[in-house]
Amino acid sequence: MKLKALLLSFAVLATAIALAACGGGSSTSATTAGGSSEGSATAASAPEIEDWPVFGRDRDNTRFATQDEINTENVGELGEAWSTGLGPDQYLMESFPLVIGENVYVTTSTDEVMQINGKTGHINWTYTPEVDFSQSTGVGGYGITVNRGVAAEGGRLFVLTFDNKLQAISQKTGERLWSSQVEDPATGAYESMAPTAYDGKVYVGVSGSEDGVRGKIAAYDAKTGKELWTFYTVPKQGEKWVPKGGGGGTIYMPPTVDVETNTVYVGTGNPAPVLVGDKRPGKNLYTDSIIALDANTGKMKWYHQEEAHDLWDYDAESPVVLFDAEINGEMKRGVAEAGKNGLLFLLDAETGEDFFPPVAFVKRHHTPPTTKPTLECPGPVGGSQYSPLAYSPETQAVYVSGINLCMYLKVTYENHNGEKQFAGDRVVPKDTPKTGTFTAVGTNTGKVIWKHAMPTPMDGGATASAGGLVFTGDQAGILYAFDAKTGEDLWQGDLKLAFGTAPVIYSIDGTEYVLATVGGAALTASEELGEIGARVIAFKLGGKKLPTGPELKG
Amino acid sequence: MRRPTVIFTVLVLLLMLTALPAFAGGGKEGWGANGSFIGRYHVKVLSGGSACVRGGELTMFIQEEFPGSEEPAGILKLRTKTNNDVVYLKELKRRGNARTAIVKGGSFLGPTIGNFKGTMVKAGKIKATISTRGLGTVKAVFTRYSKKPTP
Repeated sequence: MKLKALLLSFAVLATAIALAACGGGSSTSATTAGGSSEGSATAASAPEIEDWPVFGRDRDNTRFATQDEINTENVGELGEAWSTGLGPDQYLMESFPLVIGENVYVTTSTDEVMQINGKTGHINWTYTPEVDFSQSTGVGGYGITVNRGVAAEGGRLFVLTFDNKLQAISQKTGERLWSSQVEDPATGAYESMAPTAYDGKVYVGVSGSEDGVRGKIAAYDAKTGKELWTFYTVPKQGEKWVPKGGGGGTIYMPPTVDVETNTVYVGTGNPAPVLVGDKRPGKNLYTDSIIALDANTGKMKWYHQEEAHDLWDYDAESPVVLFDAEINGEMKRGVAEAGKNGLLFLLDAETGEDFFPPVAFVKRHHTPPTTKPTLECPGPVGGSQYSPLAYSPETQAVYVSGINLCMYLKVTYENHNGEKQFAGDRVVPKDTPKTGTFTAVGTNTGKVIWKHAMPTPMDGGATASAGGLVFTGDQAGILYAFDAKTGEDLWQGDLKLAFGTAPVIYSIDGTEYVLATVGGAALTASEELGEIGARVIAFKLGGKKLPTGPELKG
Repeated sequence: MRRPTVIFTVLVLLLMLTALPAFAGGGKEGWGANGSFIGRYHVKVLSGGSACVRGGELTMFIQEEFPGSEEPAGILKLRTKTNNDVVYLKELKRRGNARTAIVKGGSFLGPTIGNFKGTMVKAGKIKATISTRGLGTVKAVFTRYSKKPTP
């Protein structure tokens, strides 16, 4: 009895020591060394700092940085300034960071928000929300969770958690201010997108078309988290074209706001059931569409459907870019979006009509799927995924990331990998090379200016700069800097971790940094890549040299 | 305690310690009857490992990999001071009361980053050691609070 009591006491003591060694504190750690001094996004106006304060750097979502310290002449001197890991067992990275003041704001695939010093890479604080990840049983059955970043306005950061919560946190300290449930997880809906904040409103969507989720975009009050309006992209189940269990039109990337016309533009996902169309007659509006809404009311202005009655999972997923172009001698406002169907759309922002015929940027050959396997190009993981375009006003071109990946599709009327409404199988042919493209297309002409065949699928998107450069990263972990005018391959850095994002560019104290978040895109990252993790890596002129990647063909 | 008894006790303990690793490559498929383990679990941490795990949640469910192909799997969230560490349990096996799985990082298709070795104390209660690259070795008790794997 004494021995038992002694052993019990020892066990209790050992457990107490083990737990005590891990320290105390809450899930939100306070700012310590290198803490933030800014109180709001407006602090970004300090003259020596050039930030990346919204998803695409500016409201037009161009991903064009106005700095030119790093340029076509000296980009060969680019090297690593600092590199920071984002925590244990982090294996994916689709987070597009913001930079405000001296600080980088980045999310992890498990919904943490981090404030990182942009000069040193020091993590000032981490916000760790309580998240129910059990719904990832349904995300393609793959268990994938990703978070594509935060929005910022008025000293607040806004993040969507996997379990459909929109949360506001203090930009200064990372403390939570409010949390609103934007959808019931029991519907199969989940979150992956970064929200958009503008003029006191936060715009959000929901993901999960393959599970028959009903797509929507909604506006919330930035101060209180109260819902202001909701626009559903498809009818309710059992109404109009949507069969029982069906749905679609969900959203994966942040909306773009035209502040001149007070218009919200957003792309929508596929209809469901995915491969079977006979239960959902007609065009299946507003799936696979770019839609334009009044920012104050959510009332639709126009729509442009990229794939009517989709049978291949061809989302209009990547975020919309706004640009000004001379069309037939007249200056026009334009909208650009690259679809999973492998077509780039250049539209009139006022009407939604095509400026030019859509431009193909990957191999395209597809027929309606049947109960016998048919090879479809692009496959459901092809074309342009969520990958953001970049637009350079200097070259008047958009830069498109493409995935050349054909798949066998076969209708089975059953689910696939846990997706409740896929209605079939998708299989990548054995020994098929998984490759990509990177293409510059003129916004005044609708013509391809230059194009690279890339050695891997291109998931991350593009970033351009006034230095005459355009950056993109591939699945082998190579960051490329191309001459934006000619496409010449000017610089490469082998980061050893796959790209699922495009870089951001910022300057602090007169030094220009190119910042990459790496760790892999959920749909194309694989064991073949070897070491997988999640890191934030900053580059500057004169930094530590990295090995280069392969010579590109074409 | 006499010396032979001490030696015998040490040998038994050594056998117990080596039994689980030896079982990692064998055993029957799955964790037994669905009713004994499917559902959602609270996690009580006994030892937090190198990353100082504080708590978490486990969801065990039947994963439909392909039409007609089902197997049990798990989603394990382990919370440290600053991170939601989410890993995935695959290739579930059992021998007697022992329950094992491999641990995948990033997704069910991700790289194998560790293992889960446990004992089912009773239906819905598992005492286990989880080892991953990032967390080190974590010891915890998993207690089921819902037989439904979905929210």
